Amino acid sequence: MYNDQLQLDRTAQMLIVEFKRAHGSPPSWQIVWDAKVDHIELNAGARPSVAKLWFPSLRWHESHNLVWCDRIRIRTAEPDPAAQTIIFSGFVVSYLSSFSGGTEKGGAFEHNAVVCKDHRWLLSVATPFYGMAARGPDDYANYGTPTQEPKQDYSYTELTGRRTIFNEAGQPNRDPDLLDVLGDDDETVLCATPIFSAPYLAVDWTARQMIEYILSPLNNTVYNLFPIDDPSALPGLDHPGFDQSPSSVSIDGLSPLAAIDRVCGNIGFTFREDYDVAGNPMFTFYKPGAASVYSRSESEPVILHTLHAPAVGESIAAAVAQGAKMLWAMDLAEDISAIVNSPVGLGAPDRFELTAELVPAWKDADLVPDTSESNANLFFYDADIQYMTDPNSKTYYKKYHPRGSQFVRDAGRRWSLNESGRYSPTPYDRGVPFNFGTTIDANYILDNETGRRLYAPFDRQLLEPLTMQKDSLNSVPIKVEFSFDSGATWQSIPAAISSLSSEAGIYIDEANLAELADQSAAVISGGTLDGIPLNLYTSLADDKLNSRVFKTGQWKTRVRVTASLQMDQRLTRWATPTANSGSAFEQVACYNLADKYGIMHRCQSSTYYGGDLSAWDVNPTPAFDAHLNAIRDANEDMSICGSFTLERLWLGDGSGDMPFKLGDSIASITGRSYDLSASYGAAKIYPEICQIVFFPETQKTQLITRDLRFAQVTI
Amino acid sequence: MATALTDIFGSEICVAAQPWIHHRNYTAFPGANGLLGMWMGTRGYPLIISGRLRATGASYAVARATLQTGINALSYLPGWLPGDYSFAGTTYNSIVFDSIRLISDNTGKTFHMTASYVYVDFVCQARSLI
Repeated sequence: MYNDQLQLDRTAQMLIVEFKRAHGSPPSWQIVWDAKVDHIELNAGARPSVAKLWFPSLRWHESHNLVWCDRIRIRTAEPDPAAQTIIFSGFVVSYLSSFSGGTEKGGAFEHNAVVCKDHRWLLSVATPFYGMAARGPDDYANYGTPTQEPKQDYSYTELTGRRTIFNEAGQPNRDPDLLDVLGDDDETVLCATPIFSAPYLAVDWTARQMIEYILSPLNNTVYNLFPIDDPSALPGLDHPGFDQSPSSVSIDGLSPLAAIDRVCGNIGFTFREDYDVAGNPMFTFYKPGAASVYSRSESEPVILHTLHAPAVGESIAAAVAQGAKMLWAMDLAEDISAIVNSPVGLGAPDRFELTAELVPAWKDADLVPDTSESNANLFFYDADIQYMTDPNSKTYYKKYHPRGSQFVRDAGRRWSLNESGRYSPTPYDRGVPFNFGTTIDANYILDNETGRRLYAPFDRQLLEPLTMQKDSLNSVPIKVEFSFDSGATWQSIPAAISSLSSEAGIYIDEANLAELADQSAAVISGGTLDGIPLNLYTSLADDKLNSRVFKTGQWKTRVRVTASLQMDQRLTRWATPTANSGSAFEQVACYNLADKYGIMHRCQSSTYYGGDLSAWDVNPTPAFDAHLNAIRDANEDMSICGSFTLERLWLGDGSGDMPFKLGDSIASITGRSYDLSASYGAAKIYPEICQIVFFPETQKTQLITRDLRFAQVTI
Repeated sequence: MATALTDIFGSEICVAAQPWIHHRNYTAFPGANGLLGMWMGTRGYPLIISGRLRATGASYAVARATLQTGINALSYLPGWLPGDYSFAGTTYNSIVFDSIRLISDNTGKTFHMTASYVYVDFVCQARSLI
């Protein structure tokens, strides 16, 4: 039988079904003599494998002696356990009963079956993650002192109120000291598990350590049925791809299976369930489509295969004698319709920090200073107003204080960039709309060929500057400055000021404009208001009484703001087709990557420019191009998906291990000499086996392959 | 303990066990020469029991009715569970009875009358499960 695959006439391979009770004191595996394997479906990733058993001698209502949750194992029938291959190991999860009375022509049947799912199903219904395992104050010796160190009693604290998020918000939160986990005997150390820590003194979680935490005996609530003593020893986990440290990976509320799937998905890996020589289940991790060799080893968990479809007129004898894997049936689709060889990436709108003067967003006629009684009623301080019995009798209070009975809301308070030109025509007449070309660096705002300005007069909103505070990554607030000398000097005056939402501008919420006093306590010199204390209101009044025209720059009162603005262009990049493209057309897809890429620049016009505060000043064009090129490389050639049916069960033939495993790829079909490769940049990729189905009744093996597009493109 | 076939069918029987049936699947490949065979195992062996059933009676009708009663009893044989049966010193294990058929002569006559009894010839197709 061991050389069966070399013979023209083979012997059907028998599969043995064994069971063991899941609870109580289960004995060793016992054979289920009357069970017949209908099919076994092996699946990759988070989808559990499924086996269906049925009992030909039982009527649909009769008992088969298996109960839900019983453990089931299906293996080959070699006498030597070392030569046996464990094909499936799992649990009874479903009874299937069906019957039909048929007709006079026949068709009557009674069917009694059970469905089993593998250990991934068990992990999918195990306790979901919540909280964190971390060291509390009582888990340290000499806590809080320079000699603080973890206690040697394997202790830790469950923090149920914290969310299970690795590298939350991009901050490391792993304890640099691993936690030894003891076995049931409370003596044997099974493994060292990474645990959480406060960001202070913490280090990053790698993807490998995330998997170790998820599958650690510390967190494995189904350890008795699915024991993994040391997750770090799982095959494939030593791949350099697991050295990555993805940010903010949340497994809070996820089952262990979904958690593993999320971590692997973040780095472009997946996993399958394998069995060791003793039949114990384990996970093997691999990168989809990464098979490049034909021999499996610890460092190569996925391999390439060639299948044989005899050439026309060929005798099958030679191919069979060489042990070729004979293809009995195949469905193959090589499709270019989903090719993307010219991806377009859309980044965020450009954002610039600048400093610009604002225009008064009210009509001149709205501000009428009261100069009666020799300017005695011109303005009042808060200290004066609080003693007035009827403040509304004063024009200043009545019209220019928020609690005045005839409050003119915008006069003196609303200042705008006039970016849309709203305040250019009469009755405002504040001059031409704001010219961004004067404040944003030319290479960002002007077309480099025509010199035209690359924006339109849309309303905008003032945003926080890009400049950061000295001791944190927070941005400085929007800065508003006042000048009372036509812009010769500027000063920040403490006041309640808010940013407008409908346009780029500010509104002075401060109740009394007269309280925005000149910091040097100057007075007005000359004119009707000579000698009057200088403040925002009196400066505006002075400009009005002297009939100065704002748009010609005659006003002494100025307001400027330092903020950032989003403009009308965005970072947009294209990747062009290469010679490896499988399509003659440019097949474009648009990717909105605004959350990842965008230009932010602090312009020279900003008052912070050249200072000692740093700013978010980024131009991610090279990284953006690299990302799009990676997307193009993964998608520029045809998609190859297929179903390949082999003429026998390939179960190991006494080697103890199956030749085909999930994640392996089909390189080519010999005989007909058909290549199944597609381009991936300069490399080749092949259709990857994502499902294997065994049909013992017909002794056939079916391999389902998928396109690499199912894998995530990781940068 | 095997049941004698003569206890079921009477003494006028012939029993023949055919050789085991082998099941082999064949797989072909488009455009290629040759087949691959897959031996699926044996499927038991056919056991053919043929013979004559007789009944006597005061009249033809009585005898025929008696014979029919015996035939009706044999009708239940295909529903029996697998069992062991013996004939002429040979034991046949795990036998199930697939069908029992009455044989008519070339004139179409099934029940035959003689001076002292009524008889009918039959053939029973049985098979072993092992």
